[in-house]
Parts: sequence; structure tokens; C-alpha cells
Amino acid sequence: MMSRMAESFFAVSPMLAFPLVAMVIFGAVFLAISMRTMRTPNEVIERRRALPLEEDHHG
Amino acid sequence: MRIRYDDAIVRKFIFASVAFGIVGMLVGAIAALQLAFPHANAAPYLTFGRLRPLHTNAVIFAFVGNMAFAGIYYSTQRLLKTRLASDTLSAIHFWGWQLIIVAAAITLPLGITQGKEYAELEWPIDIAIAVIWVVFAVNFFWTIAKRREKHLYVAIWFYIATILAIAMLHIVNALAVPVSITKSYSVFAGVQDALVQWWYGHNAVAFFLTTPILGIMYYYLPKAAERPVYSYRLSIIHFWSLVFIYIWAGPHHLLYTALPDWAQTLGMIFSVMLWAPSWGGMLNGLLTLRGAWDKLRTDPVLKFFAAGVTFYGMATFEGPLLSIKSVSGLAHYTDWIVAHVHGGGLGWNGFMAAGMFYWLVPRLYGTELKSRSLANFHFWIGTLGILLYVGSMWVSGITQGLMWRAENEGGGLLYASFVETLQAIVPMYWMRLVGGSLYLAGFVLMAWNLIATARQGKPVDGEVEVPVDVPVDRKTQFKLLVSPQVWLSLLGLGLVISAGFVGPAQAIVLLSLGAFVLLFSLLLFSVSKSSSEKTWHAKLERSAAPFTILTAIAVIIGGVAEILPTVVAAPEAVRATTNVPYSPLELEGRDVYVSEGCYNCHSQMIRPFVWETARYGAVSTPDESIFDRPFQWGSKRTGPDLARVGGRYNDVWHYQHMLDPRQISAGSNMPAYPHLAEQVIDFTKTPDKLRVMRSLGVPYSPEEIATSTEDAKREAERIARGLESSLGIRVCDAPAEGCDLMVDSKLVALISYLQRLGRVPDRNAAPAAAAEQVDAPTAEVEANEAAAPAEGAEAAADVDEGEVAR
Ligand code: HEC
Repeated sequence: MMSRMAESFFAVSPMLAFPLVAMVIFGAVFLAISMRTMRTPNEVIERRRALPLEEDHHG
Repeated sequence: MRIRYDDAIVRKFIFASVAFGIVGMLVGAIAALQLAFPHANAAPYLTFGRLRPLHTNAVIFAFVGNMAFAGIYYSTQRLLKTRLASDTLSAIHFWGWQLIIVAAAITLPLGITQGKEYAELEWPIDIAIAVIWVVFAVNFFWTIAKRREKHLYVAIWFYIATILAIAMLHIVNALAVPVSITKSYSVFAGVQDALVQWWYGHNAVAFFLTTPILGIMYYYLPKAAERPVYSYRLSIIHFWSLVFIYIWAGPHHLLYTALPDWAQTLGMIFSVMLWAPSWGGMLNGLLTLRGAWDKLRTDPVLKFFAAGVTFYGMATFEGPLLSIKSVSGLAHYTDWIVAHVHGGGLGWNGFMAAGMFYWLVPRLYGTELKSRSLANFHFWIGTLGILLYVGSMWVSGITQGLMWRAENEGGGLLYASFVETLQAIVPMYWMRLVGGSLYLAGFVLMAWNLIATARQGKPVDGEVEVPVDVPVDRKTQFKLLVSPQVWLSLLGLGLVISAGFVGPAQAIVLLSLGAFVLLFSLLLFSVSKSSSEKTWHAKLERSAAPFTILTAIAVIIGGVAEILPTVVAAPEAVRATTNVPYSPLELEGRDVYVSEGCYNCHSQMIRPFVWETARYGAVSTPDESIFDRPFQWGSKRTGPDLARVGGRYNDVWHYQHMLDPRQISAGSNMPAYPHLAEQVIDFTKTPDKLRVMRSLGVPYSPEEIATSTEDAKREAERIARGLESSLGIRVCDAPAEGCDLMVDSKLVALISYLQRLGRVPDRNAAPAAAAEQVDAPTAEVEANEAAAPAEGAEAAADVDEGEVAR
């Protein structure tokens, strides 16, 4: 069943492997980033979040 | 220790942006007027086909470009707590960019163009853009390297993505082989050229009009609202998903065209996916304003930001919708797309710019905004202007889209005359002009307000107290510059660029090799451990390098996976083609078509719909544009599709139509081109053109190249004399009093090209037979088409294999 599906999928063009690989990479990176983001400690997040609000002095 | 920021450069970029914004929008308003009132095509170099590229280039690269540079330079210094790395580089960046804009403003009206949307500038200017962009990148990354703030705020990531992606997009899409200083041919042809162009075109929207402005949003919106961004975690996810997904969406500009189906489907899926990160970003922006809504009533800055982000949400909702194939079937080629881009351009880019300027200029001049009420007034007429503009273009686009496909009872076209579908939307064109003018008026008020603000204050530069100065070790700096990573990056870049100067087969090898080397050097940047010594990574600190690398990988993957397959298949397609290269005169005519910007109004791509084939003829195939450099599929049908116009009318019709379209088609808004009858082509340069084409793999034989000048002249003579005898006009070989048409005029070449469209000639036929063919009525064209593949196959078989493979 799976191999038949794969066969008909690649019958359109063997080039379809490219986007497939890219999708896998995207998925992996997305997952990794999301997990890393979620696990970043609150202090770090808060520190970065506040960065634009630090005042500089004009003149 | 106290450091002083370079805010002078920010002030410069702001006023450049305001000035060019007004010019760019004014040109847009003139172009809008021309569509409603064609007599506004006042001069040969100011016709719609030449002004429209000037408008798009001016608003994208001059207005938004300068605005983004201002916003980036101001916020980067503050977020990194350091002055910009080099005042010299900043100055080169500023003046170089303005020179490029001036060069564009001169060359585009002169018809010096590569004929690819938003990438029209010719190769010498393209090289200048690449150089100035590298200057910007060096200045920016150098500033990151000497920063005093360890953490990189999310705005900086968006700036990094902008710099990397634009460099890659610009270089690949601009690859061309020069014929002369003002003319070049794209290294890509037909389908590949279309794919590369829209990969570029779409991502110019993504990485020039979106990512820098999102970075700006993440800095200035919290500043103006005086509260931090709603969710920093969401902003991280927003960034990564946006950068990864955007790069794939390009083919949604090519749905139902001759692009392979798999690429179309891919473009559609990724476009629909794009909705999620876009709305994540919009919500993050709007929610930052929660609790500050009361300020919105009085503060023009927050008003512009809130509306700008809302328009971003609107445009990014509409975009995925338009990428659904069935919706695209209706909307593509119509004004609906024009509505879409102006929702984004006027609403998102224009309003974010206005908000940022109103916030920045008082601070940069140590004073208050001159007139708050005027700024609020600007907001309201700007909003009204956008609503009128977008509303009228929606109505216009959907009306015309529905009229094109409307069937009568017999199953034929209900509105067989194209002009009828144009007449129906002319009132909307006037309404659009009103909307656009209101918006422009608001901008002029802003300019006055900003200048008055600057006048009442005096330039002040921001300063900040930093704990200690980080000592700069000259020796390690030098070592950094000669590290293998840097050399490899340069080598990779060199390989990619050199791909532009060789044949397609070698180009593929060079391109993939270059991409590989670049990727490898980026990996080196990331993996080499360097906790003890002071190296790039120690300087760039944890996040900068990995972010840069990952971003680069994200944008490279999408491009390589989408484009490489068609590029690899190209030489084989040329070998198998049944098509025949353009004759020397047709090629010259095609260059006139490109130079006049006819593609701004005419498509050359018949989609597989019944109503479309009934109006324009058989569905377009990839083979038909295999020798087209650049491709001219077009993106907007202000006029009818021309893919199969060859043979539909005789030369006399074309001659009269080009001189005065309204005399032949009452109600047409096509510009008149009488000057083309006088302007002549120097056919002694034709062999150079054929030679470049041959170097790109087009099967011209050396004999054809050698005789191309005489060939073109002979063919022009035939067409011109034909017109002379049918019309009794005065045809001249040399300029003289009372001439109606020059033999070697651009008009004659253009007619020869138009008559070729959709037809594959039999090169071996006697000239007399060819002459008959040109004047053939419609019925014969079909017979001709049916016979064409067989004839073409013979012609292709005649060509030496070795030549084709080059
Ligand atoms: C402002 C938009 C615009 C521009 C620019 C423009 N055209 Fe047109 N063109 C039209 C419209 C509208 C029509 C349909 C009415 C008519 O026949 O004039 C048309 C019709 C035509 C037709 C007849 C097509 C048919 O099937 O009836 C040809 C051929 C043509 N244009 C060629 C050109 C060429 C060549 C150029 C560039 C030199 C050009 N056009 C530039 C708008 C434009």
C-alpha cells in the first residue's frame, strides 16, 4: 500500500523528492526551534523582550 | 563610557525615503491616469509601459528601501548598544543607493530594461546594487560583531534574514549575459526564467517589503506603546516559520501556466501555510497595543502602526486566498492583484513608514512634532485613500474576471470584444486615481510636517552609557578576515556569479557547486568550537552565527529545491524542442517589445480554461517560450493576451493600430506609438545579439549569425514595402521630409515579432510563401499551427547536436 502510494507519487516527477526532503528539514527545524523556545527560561525571554525599551539619551 | 550613535545617517535615509516616496507615488498616479485617459501618454519615454516599472522600482527600492535602512540603522545601534561599525561604509551605502535610484530614474524611461518585473534594471546597475548591498551587509554584521549587548533581539533576526535573502535573490535572478552596456539576455529562458523571476518577485515582497518592516514593527511598536511585545516566544516562532515558508510560495504567481504541475501545487500549499505565521505576527503586534488603546485616539504614531499591522493582516489573509488555484483562475491577470498589492503597499508599508517617521523625526531633532492634528488628518485621508483604491480595484478585478469568462447561451463568449470588458471598468480606474491622489496628498502633508519639525529643532544624536569599552584586537580582527570560512564564502559567491558568464550546462554545475561551497562555509561558521580563543564566534556570540546560518539554509533550500529541477531539465528540453529560434528581425522586434514594456499590459500565456482558449487560441506550452530571454508571460491583462496574435491580423492592421490604437479599437487605452515608425534599429549590432544567444544554447548557426544583418534588412524591406503598396504611405531608407515609415524602424521589427507569436515558421520555405503566410486570415493560422510541430521537428533535427548542447 505504502509503496504503491510512493510509486504513484513519484510517477509525476522524481523531482518531487526535493520538496519532500525540504519539508522534512523544515519540520525538524521548526520542531527544534519551538522546543528550544518553549524551554528557554523566563528570565532570558523577559530580558530580551525588554531590550527595545531601554532608554538612550538624546543630545 | 559614553558612546554616541550615528543618527545623521538615519536622518539622511528618512528624508531620501520621503522625497522618493512622493516621486514614486506621483509616477503611480500618472500611470493610473494613463489607464483611465490614454492621451496622458504624453511622450515616447513616458508611456505606461515605461512608467509602470519606474513606479514599482521607485516605491519598492527608493521609498521602502530608504525607509527600511533608516529604521534598521537607528534600531540596530540601540539594540546592540554600539555605534554603526563604519561611518565610511554608512556613507557609501547611502550615496551609492541614491545613485542607483537616479540611474534607475534615467534608464527606465529610456527603455533600458531587462523586462522582468521589479528587476528591470540593466546589468551595470545590477552589479552596483550587489556591491552596495555587500557594503550594507558588511557594515551591519561588523556592527553585530562589535556589539555590547549579548542578546540579539528578534528585530535583528528579521534584518539578518533580509540581508541574506535579498543578496541571494538579486544575484540569481539578475544573472545575464551582456550584449552591450545597455542590453543583456537572461541566462534563464522560458519556464525556468518564469520560475526564477517569480521566486525572486515573490520573495522581494517577502524579504524587502515584509521582513525588514516586521523587524521595524518589533522595535518601534513597543517603543511607541511603551510596553514590551506581547509574546516574545511567539515572535521567535513567527520568525522561523515565516522565513522557512515564504521562500517556497513564488510559483503561486504562475498557477495554470506552463509551469510543471508539481511546482504549482507546491507554491499553492506553501502559500496557504503562510497564513499561519503571518497572522501570528499580526496578532503579536496588535496585542502589544492592549492596554494602550486609549492612547490610540490621540497619538498619530500608534494609529498608523495599528492600522498598518491590520492592513498586513488583511493582505496576508488575501494572499493565501489568491493562491488557491480556483481563486487564482478568476483573479490572475486582473486588477484584484493590483488591489492586493496596494493593500499591502499603501496600508502596511506606507503606514508603517509614516508611523516610524512621525516617531523618529521629533527625537532625531530633539523637539516635538510640529503638528499632531495634521498627522492625524494625514491618517484619515490616507485611510480613505486606501479604501477607495483597494475597493475600486476589487470591483474592477472581479468585474473584468467575470466578464472574461461569461458565456452566452450558445456556449460562446458573452463579451467577445476585449474592449467591452475594459470599458466596464474605466469608472473604477477614475475612482482609483482619486484614492491614490488622496493618499499622496496625505504624504505631502507628512513631508511638510516632518520638515517643519526638523526646522524647529536641531539635529541631535542619541547617546548611551555603557559599562566598559570592549577592546578591539587588531590582530585577531585580521585573522578573522583571512579565516577559511571567509575565503570559502567568497569562493562560493565567485562561483555563483561566474555562472552568469558561461553556457547553461556549465552554469548549472557552477551554481550547484557555489551553493554547496557557501553552505559548507556556513556550516564551518557554526560548528568550529571556539570557547577559548577570540574568533568570529566568540565575537558574534552564541546566537548571531547560528541564526545567520540557519536563516541562510532556510532560504537556500527553498530556492534550490524549486529551481534546480527545471534548470537541470533545460538543456534536454532545448534538444527536444520543435520550436525554431527567432529570425534576426523577430529578435530585434522582441527587444523593442521588451524595451517598450508591453508586458506591463499584455500577457503571453494562455491558461487551460475554455473561455481562455475560445478568446485567445490553444493553451500555451512550455516549448513555445523555450527561446524567450527574458520570458514575457506577463502578470496583468490590461490588454488581451498576445501569445497567439501572430497571423490574427495583417501587417496593415498592426501598423495602423500601433500608430493610433483608438482609431482601430475605439475605447482602447493602449498608448499610441507613432515614434516607433521613425526610430531606427542598428542592424549591424544584430550579430552580437545572436552570438550571445548562441552562447546561451540557442541553436543559431555561425552562418545565420554572419548573415543576420542582411537577413534582418531584407525582411524589414519586405514588410515595409508591403505596407507601402497597401497603404500608399511613404517609406524611406534614410531620414527625409514627409516620411511615414523608416524601413529599419522599430515598428517594422515589432510587427515582424507580433506576427511570429504563436507560430513556428518553416525556415526552409521560400520568401514568397512566407509573405503570404503573414497576411493569412485566422482560419489558416489554425491549420498552420497543426502543421507546425512536424515542420519544427525537421528544423530541429537539422541542427547539429553539439551546438544545441552548448
Ligand atoms: C496601457 C496598456 C497597454 C500597453 C502598454 C500596450 N497595450 Fe497593446 N493593447 C492594450 C489594450 C487595452 C488592447 C485592446 C484594445 C486594442 O485593440 O487596442 C491592446 C491590443 C493590442 C493588440 C491587439 C491584440 C488583439 O488580439 O486584438 C496588439 C497586437 C497590441 N496591443 C500590441 C502591443 C504592443 C506591441 C505594445 C508595446 C509596444 C502594447 N500593445 C502596449 C493595452 C496596452
